[in-house]
Amino acid sequence: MVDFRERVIDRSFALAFLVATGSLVALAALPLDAERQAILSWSCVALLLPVRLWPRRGWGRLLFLAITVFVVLRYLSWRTYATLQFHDPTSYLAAVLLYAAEWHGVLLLLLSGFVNVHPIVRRAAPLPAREVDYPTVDVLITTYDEDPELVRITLVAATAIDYPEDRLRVYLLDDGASEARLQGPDSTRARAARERQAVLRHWCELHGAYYLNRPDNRGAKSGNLNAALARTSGDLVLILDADHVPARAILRQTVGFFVSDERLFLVQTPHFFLNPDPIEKNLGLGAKMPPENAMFYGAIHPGLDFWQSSFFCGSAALLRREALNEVGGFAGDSITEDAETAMLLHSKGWRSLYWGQPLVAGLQPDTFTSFIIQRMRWAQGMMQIFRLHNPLWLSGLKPWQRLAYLSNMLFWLFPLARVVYLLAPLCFLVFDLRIYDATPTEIGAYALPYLLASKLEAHYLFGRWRWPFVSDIYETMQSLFSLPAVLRALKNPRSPRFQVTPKLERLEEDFISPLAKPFYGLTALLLAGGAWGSVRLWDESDAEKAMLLLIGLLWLAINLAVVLAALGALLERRQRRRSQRVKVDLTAEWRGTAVNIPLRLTDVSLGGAQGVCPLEAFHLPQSLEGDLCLRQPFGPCAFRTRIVNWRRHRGHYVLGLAFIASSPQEYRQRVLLVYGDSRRWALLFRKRHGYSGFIGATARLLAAGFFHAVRHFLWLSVHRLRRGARGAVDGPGAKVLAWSSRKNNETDKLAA
Amino acid sequence: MSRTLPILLLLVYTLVPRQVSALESTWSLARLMSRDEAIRLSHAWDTYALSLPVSARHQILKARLHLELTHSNALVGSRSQLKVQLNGWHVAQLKFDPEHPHVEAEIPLPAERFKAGYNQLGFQVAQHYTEATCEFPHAPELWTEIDSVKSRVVLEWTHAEEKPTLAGLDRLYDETLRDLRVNIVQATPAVNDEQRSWGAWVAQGIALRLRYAPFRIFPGSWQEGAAGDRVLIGRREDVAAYLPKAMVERIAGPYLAVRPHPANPGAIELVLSGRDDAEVSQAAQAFIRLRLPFPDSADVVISALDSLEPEPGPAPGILREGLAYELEQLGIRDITLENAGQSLEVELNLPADLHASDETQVELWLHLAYRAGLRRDSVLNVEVNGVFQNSVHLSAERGAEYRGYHLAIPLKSFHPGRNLLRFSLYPAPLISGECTYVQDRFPVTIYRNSMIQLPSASHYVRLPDLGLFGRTGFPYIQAGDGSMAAIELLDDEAETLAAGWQIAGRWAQQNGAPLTRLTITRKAADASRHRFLLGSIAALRVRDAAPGAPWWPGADSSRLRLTGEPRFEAPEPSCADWLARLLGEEKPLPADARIRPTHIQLTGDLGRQRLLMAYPAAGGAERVETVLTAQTPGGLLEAAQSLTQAELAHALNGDLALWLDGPETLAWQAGGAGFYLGDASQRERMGAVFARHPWFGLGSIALSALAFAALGHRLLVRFKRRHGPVDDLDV
Repeated sequence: MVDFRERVIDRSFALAFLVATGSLVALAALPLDAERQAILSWSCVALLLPVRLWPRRGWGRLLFLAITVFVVLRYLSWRTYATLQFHDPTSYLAAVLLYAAEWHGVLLLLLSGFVNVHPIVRRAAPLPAREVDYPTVDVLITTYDEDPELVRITLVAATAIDYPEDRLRVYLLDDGASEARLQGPDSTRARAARERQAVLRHWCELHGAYYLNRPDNRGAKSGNLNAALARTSGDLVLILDADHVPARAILRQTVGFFVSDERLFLVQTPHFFLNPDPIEKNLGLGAKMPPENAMFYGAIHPGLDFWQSSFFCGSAALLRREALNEVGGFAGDSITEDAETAMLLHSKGWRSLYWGQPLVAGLQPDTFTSFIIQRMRWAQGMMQIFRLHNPLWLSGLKPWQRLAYLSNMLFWLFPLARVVYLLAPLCFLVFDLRIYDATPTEIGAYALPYLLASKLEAHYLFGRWRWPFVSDIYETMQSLFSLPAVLRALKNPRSPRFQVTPKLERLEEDFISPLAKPFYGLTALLLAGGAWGSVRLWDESDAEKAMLLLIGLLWLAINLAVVLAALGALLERRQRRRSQRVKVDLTAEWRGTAVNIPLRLTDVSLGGAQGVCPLEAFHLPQSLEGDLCLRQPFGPCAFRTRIVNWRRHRGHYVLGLAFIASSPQEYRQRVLLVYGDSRRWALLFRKRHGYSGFIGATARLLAAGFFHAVRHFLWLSVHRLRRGARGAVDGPGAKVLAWSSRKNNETDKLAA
Repeated sequence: MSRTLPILLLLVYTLVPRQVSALESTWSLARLMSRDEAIRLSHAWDTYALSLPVSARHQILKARLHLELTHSNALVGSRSQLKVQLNGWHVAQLKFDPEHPHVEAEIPLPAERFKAGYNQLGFQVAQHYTEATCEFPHAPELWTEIDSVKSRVVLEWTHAEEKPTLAGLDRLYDETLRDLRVNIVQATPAVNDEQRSWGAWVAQGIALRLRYAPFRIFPGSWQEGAAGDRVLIGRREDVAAYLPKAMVERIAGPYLAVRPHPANPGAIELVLSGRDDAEVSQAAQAFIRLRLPFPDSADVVISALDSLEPEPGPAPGILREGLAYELEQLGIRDITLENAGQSLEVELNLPADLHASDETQVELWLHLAYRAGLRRDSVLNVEVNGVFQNSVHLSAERGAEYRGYHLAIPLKSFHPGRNLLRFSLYPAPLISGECTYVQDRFPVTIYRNSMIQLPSASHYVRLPDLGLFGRTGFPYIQAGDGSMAAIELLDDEAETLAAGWQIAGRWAQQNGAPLTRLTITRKAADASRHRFLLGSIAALRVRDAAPGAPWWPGADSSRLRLTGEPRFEAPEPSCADWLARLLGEEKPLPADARIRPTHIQLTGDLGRQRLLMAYPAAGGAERVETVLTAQTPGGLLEAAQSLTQAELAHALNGDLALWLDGPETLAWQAGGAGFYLGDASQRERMGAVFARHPWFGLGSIALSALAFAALGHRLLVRFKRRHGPVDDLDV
């Protein structure tokens, strides 16, 4: 009876909600003259400003979204009924393409509003009282051709996870040493594989992990994991990429959820990175703006979690073996096996959740090329899933899950839209194609409020995690390369192949990315289009047409600013440091021969540490070798170190320490020192997020883009443009470049 | 001798030129112009042309031009002159004398140069202020002004002796006929609606051929010697009394004949007959449809006539919203304008009930070309109904050809019904000045495939509206075939019936096509139609007062709704106005005009007044009833005739109009109930409501948004309770 009553109440609310929604939609479609429309839409935009100051949860959030959706729907209604006119086939084709691109944006806006309507933050789930009741966990670390040193860090950290030893096993799944590769026809490669295998095997033995390989590389990563599943037996599996170093607390914070929910198949945690991605790095914004993936892990995933749609992101996640067995292991139809597996499990009624604390520390790709490889894989993978397991038709998914997955997949169609947006103003300015039938008044009444409302909505939902126009820059940079890949995947969903993302590449000097060439062409095209449009504007006597030309030029100018920022990001900056440096604040003591120096450690890495001490406390010891002693959450520890540099700085001494070669135990301690404490990641994660002013953030981003674009062209002028060209030429340009490089390097604060 | 003399006399009689009795018509030049203004000719060389209509029925015997003009006294007499041309032929030249700048001249115009239709009377001047060849051709002292009111053309004419045939109907009835009078003799008494419709068919056929020229229909009898054309309608046995036996014998089916009016020289008699009513109706329908010069015979018997299946929608002559028309489709060929002030006029007949927002625009794509040597300030002005709208900038010094030169004109610049779109050339030569040879022709060609596109718009109009009715005949021509209109005769007077025919003819003119399904009835017309009631005041008096009528005659007194002068009050700003001010708009709000009607009961009749009123029909069917009445049936007929005069028709307004003779005596008032008629979608109607009541609109939006937010939040809470985690921090 109660259940029936609940259902009736639910349905009544749903019906009333539908009526309210229908009313909003109907009102959005009413025809108004441009003057009244301008007043209405700008009033709505103005109303968004105070509403966004209200608490961003509950009905205030929905009110904000309702107003935004209303403005968007009014725009869409006008756009559909009034701006698509047939003049000639070419113009109409261009107009339809632009319209379709806008539809993509509108759909994404609506779906992102849906997905993010009620993000949740979970409370921790306790573990059972007795350790014997803890589920057994297999940690599966996948590797292919990553630097063995990198793999060692992850391996060591995994073995140091805080969990009963008898209930934890760590496995290294070495796909770089499949029998097929070891016996392969290329003797050089085979020898390299064998050498690598030997190293990894040694480390597994040294650190108490299990080494697994398999006969071939079929199925790429999903095949590797499935082969491991057949040879392991833990209740839960923790999946880690080779560069995703787990914190000690990873299992204590996540296993409890599986105990309290038997139908839970996944706990996904955020991918936290120590280094900036190549775009952030090259634009010198690594420490200044939230990382690009922050929006996904900080905002979108908590929203997906509400809709029971958190999906597996390939690493930093704990899964239930029983659920994986039900679907035959990790799915292998796409190259994003992670999302595919999660969707299939959701369709079987399994549940997932997102735990928003960063518990692994990973590495971003170092170059734009690597970055593109990674993103293309994601884009293609999502298109494969869209084609092969479309969420709209996959049986078993709940309606809200379908929308959530659709939102994720539709996003990856952005290359089509971006290319259209880049070229659209040129169609009008250069070829005078009638791609958008509207007067300047109508544009001011419909289009501008819509653009502003959509930017405000993005800032409202994601402003803590993403600056304005960051999406434009990232997507523009990816679109030229992703577009053919996406189209290929849509056409032939079985064609894409898994490609491992290169990590920890050494960049000895600055160089221009080999992927910069299309952007030169694009820049030239936009400049030429702008020049042509300007000439037309100068010569135009019709006021209305002149205004339209001006609007086209402004649009082109925005595109040009984005493309210039892209060029700025395509001057790859050098990266010589091998090990990641992490900011810390730890009390320690350096104990030498007859000298003890109290230190406050400011950053640590696997190679060393840096600390400060009061002036009066510093006495240069006779021998520079000593022990660095400090207390860690997991116990006191001491590291054999050498003082490699010291200097006075603002009333204290700054000491640089290098860790001296060590035993496996000390190495493990070092790994734990740098990577073991997840609270440090949480602090860094929070520190880099926070609402920034819309205008200020935009200005800083565009200024950085322009600055580095100028650097890029200066670099071109003093160097030959060759693939990975090196070589310096003396001259003022080189001096300016050198100066700007120094300035940029100084501003990198985080793990460069 | 006695036999020879008559023969000789007869011979002499035939040989001696008979003195033909001539008629005279005088036209002031102002009457031939579209605007009442002097004819000004400026610069060293200038030209002006007028169109002089001459009917095919008339043969010009003599013509003269009485010209009064004044020219600048700075002109050099030996080098300045005025040339007069008729249809391109030089007929006269006047020399200018600076000592006598005012000139009056009688200029004979060669009769043989006149042709049926429009004749071009042209004036060209050559003006110089110096003997030397070196002068500034655009000097302001080079001018001549022709007094268009005092200058006149006097035509002596007689009726053409050409025997009329059916092939010549369109020439015999055309817009060159001014104030045509047609007497319709109904040999078969009109006792049923079909018979009453015959006259309406005839009136429509004549009216359509006259295009927009006014005409007057009279009920005729055979005996009276009324002037004008005569139309005889009736069954064979009824018309037999009026026609020669040979003619009657040829009536073997639907019969149509034309012959000279036996009593009125120059007039025409039409005969429409048949063996029964159906055949007479067919003959009348054939009369409307025979627009091809065929057959070239005096009469015809129609053995088969496809019934006129009306097509849905407005009449063919009315442009349709959302469609694009080439100029060629509007009757315009490639045209080259050469001189300053020369213009191309395009007639656009718009639907009467178009409804669109203020920003809706009519778009023009002009294909045009112009010669080199034009200065950057040369323009081709675009006017709508005499009001400047836009211009084409002829700025390329090397000349140019534009394909699809785009112009937009607000739809609100166009009236319902007939509009005149004019392209006027105002060139400025690139090279000018003293001692300079200046080109005097600036050809600008507008090509026939230039296009005019009407915007998409709905049909939505507030009724009743006598102004709209007078200009377009709406709503009676709403369906292009008259299927939504009915003329209801309130008495059996011949004048009342003739008034109905007059109205039908006028509506056909405004429709541009016959109203084939218009009914004229003596009984209550179908309530699904808009009704037009015709009757004298006595006929109205015996009917019950219509509930919404602003005036109604009673037995002793009439009830009249008076609205009086509007009272101007401080405006109540709407939400949109308030927001506009908030956004910095400085424009003040106009005062609100409030009208408070009062009702008065008073004795007294119309006397010489004619009354036209319109009100919503009873029963809420969204139909209009219009009443035209006068004191007597004769007055009623005159009232109907005066409605075909453009000056009066265009002066109508409101929902009640009274007048004596002409538009200068017209008084009108508004303020009655109304309704909206149209096929605007519900969406458009609501948009119109919201535009008028923005508070309501904003309130609805706010309410919907709040409901969406509140209900959505409740739903999310319930969803979380059922599906989501109970252990979250509720961010």
